Amino acid sequence: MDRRIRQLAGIITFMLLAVAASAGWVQGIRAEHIATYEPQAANGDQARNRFRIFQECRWERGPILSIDGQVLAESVRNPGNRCIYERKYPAGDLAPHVVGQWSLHFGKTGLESSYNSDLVGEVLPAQDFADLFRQRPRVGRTLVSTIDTRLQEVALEALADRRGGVVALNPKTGAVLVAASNPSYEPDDLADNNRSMAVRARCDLGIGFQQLSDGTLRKDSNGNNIECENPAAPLLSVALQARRPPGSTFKVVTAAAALESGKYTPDTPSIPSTGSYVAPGESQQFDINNYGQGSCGGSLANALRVSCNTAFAQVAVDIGADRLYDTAQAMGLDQVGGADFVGCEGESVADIALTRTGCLPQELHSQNADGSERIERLSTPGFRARAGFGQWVIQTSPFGMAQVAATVANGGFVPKPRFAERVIDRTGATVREIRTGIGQSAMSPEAAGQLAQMMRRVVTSGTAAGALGGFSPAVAGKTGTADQPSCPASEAAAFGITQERCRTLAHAWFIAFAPAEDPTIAVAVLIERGGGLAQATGGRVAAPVARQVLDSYFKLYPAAGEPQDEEQ
Amino acid sequence: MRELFLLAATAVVFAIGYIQLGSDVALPFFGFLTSFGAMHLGVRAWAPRADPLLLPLTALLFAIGSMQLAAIDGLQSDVSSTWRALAPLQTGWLAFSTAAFLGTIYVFRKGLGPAWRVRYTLALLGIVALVAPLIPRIGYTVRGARLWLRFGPLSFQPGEAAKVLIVLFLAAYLSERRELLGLATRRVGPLLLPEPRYLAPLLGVIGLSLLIFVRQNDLGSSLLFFLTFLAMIWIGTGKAYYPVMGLLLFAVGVYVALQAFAHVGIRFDAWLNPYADPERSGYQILQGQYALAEGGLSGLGLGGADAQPHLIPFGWTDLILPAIGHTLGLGGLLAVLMTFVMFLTRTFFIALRSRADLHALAASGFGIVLGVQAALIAGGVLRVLPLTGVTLPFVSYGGSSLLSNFVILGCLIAISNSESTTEQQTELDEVAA
Repeated sequence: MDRRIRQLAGIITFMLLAVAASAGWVQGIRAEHIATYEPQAANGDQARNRFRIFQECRWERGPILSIDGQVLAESVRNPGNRCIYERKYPAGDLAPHVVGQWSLHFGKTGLESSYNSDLVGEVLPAQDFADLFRQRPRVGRTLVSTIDTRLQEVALEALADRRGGVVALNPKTGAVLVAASNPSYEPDDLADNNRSMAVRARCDLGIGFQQLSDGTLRKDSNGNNIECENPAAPLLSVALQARRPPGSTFKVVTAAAALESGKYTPDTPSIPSTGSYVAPGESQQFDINNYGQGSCGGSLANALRVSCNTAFAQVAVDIGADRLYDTAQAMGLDQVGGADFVGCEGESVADIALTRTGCLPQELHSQNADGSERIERLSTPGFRARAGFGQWVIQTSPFGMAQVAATVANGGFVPKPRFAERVIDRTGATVREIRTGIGQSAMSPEAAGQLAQMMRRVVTSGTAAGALGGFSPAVAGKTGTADQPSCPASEAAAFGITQERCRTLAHAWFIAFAPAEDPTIAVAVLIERGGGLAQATGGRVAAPVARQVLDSYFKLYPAAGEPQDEEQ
Repeated sequence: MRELFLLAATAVVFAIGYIQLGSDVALPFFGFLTSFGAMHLGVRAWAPRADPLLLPLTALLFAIGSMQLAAIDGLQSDVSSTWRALAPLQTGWLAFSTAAFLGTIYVFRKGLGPAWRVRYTLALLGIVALVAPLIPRIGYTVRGARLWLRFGPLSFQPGEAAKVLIVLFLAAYLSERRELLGLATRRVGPLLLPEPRYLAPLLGVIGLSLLIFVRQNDLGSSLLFFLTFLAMIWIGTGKAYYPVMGLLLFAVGVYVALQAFAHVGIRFDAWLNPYADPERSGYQILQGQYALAEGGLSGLGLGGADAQPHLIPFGWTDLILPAIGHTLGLGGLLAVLMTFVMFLTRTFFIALRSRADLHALAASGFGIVLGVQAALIAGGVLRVLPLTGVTLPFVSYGGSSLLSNFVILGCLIAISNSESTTEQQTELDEVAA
């Protein structure tokens, strides 16, 4: 019996020693890593170290500046709530989705999250022996964002009160100059150290449960918590996260796939001209028509110039599902939330996590009215024909389509978008320049050059001629008018219109880059439900917004419009 | 004298902690002094030859736990108007526990003989204690008698009492039958088993307690009982097939539980990857890990503005170890673990020194209960094991667990006392014969 008691004592002691060893790992060897490791889970929840944030509010966090020197975020002294500093956002609703928030109660988002370790900064050196055993304060570094507030303001003014988004980026460096979204929000209250203030601000934006003035949860007649509502969903950035069909702007992707397939050049072969196209295996009622019911076709270049649906439907069917899917993926259209989109599992590669480029799925899984599973495949010609001109179930954001334009502008190389430019320390010295490097090649430089010229012709004599034909420097672009006949009640509420009216409204798109010969800027504009199918063409509604942004850009950066050898 | 000196040392630690906290030191400190003073006097009177280390080690564990509670109280009262201070309540529970402890060492001043005589009553009481919360109607009708249990944060867990009762029963039963149980006479397939009638009561008790705990979704306690049962029967009989069969049963049980009870699977997933669901199933583990990592080597201090132990979910009960690591650092956490190792070493030493089987079995049984419970929760918060909800003995807040743990301490002190007094041995031998 004694031997067995000794053995058991040994086992239990061993267990406790294993715990002690694990404690040494967690609190000693890996402490800093574990404390700062806050990954976002697949279900969307963010792991949050609630203890560190109470440390951080006692340290002077570094400011975030725009590239033109405006203060986007700063720490101000406001002792209370166990904190010394409070986070303020002097730029208000200008770019809250990009800058993100630092919140004592809800964690960090945007640049505040991605560059947290820089903004927190370094530990101040110990003043005396006892300091070695204390938590010493840290002083943050300054983060300079790539966002240009002047252009951002121009973009927001051009959007006016319309729901939409504008993204502009440098195709060579990936630096995002504009990421303007309407609706937007004021982030100061959300970042308030006072909990009830912050909870109320968040509820106003549609997140969480409603609270009474004493901080307790409000209940409905059944005793359930009441969810906060904001039909406009301003926390979602239209520019960076919208999920809308790209319409004809997607023809740039289809054209790229066609040129890469070797079957097509800009001028050959001639695509049969028609006013109505029925894909193989489809019934007559699902025929594809052109805008204005006209008949069109001819060369690939001409089809893009006049934005010919029937021609791109035929091209998409011809080149096959794999070619079209691979090209869209290569151009970065590989991200969309939700497991029902098969082949869209890509993750954000930008330096802020919320961005979603969009995706052309291989399959879409949904439910029929009777509850049975419905699978739509890109390999089905009828679906692929619609995908060829940006309809079917493709979902994209202005961010994703700006990346497509930038890829063509950049000789086929996909830029790696970034929202931060550099980190500066207290003395003003640059700690590091943020550079993402050249991305993968989505198409050959020859094909990209040909496609750029085709997009140039869209502006000189095609659907964008009215808005940007005479613009200097030369612009290359593509318009889009996307039909989305489904409009759930929540979406109609966001626009404040009836569902019937909402269904008839189309999305207006425009993507462009300039100067056409040596691009320094790529732009994408989306005006959601911009108007009736007949009026809301991308050329009439979205292109003028792009024009204002480009106009200001070349005024602010005159050198960017000149031919040049090197990026300034 | 040694015991008094060591107790004084823990009192100094306690006072320093409270002064650092800046909270009202009077009630908890004098409550602590009075209670442990009374326990010391009781030991001098009824168990003068008892092990002098057990009581001071317990006092140290209690003091560290009480400091954490006071730290959490101070922070919670700032943010919540409904928070009821736990440290004074725990001091109150300590007073009850002191009475229970004194009663235990008085009743068992000549050894565990009295428990042996009522061993089947103990088993029955243990079962009743386990069943009580399962019967909602009865629970409702006896509500008047138990009303005080439901005030504020107070709650009574009968399972805690069952812990003591069942270890005592197993020790009594095994000391009497261990020869027979060790005798394998029946061949079932490749297995040699003892007569069913010797095995049945044991399997009955443990099967019932397992069933009840699975029904109550209290996996931690279920596991604790199961492992204690296996370990004690193995010590008693020396037959390896008990733990082997038990562990096989356990493996089957785990598999069935994974299939049948969603919460078991979730707990398992949360153990392997708490980051997969950081706001729900992984929440407790992750916040525990963050609290520990922030604490670092030296901790963020008990008072002051840096430490935030009140943000740890259940930081006053199940997750009190992360609170200790957060405020007192790796140093503090290791001190608590080493205190446990010392306490358990003394307990098993008492078991080894006991000549009466009853005492050896009871002492090692109590060592196993406390050791497994500490290892389960400590291993749970440090991700060595899946997290199961049990308290850290003597440290966590909780009246019922404090009460039963001090009864266990009383039993251990009584055993160590009677085993170092030779003349009482004869009486016990007579009882056991």
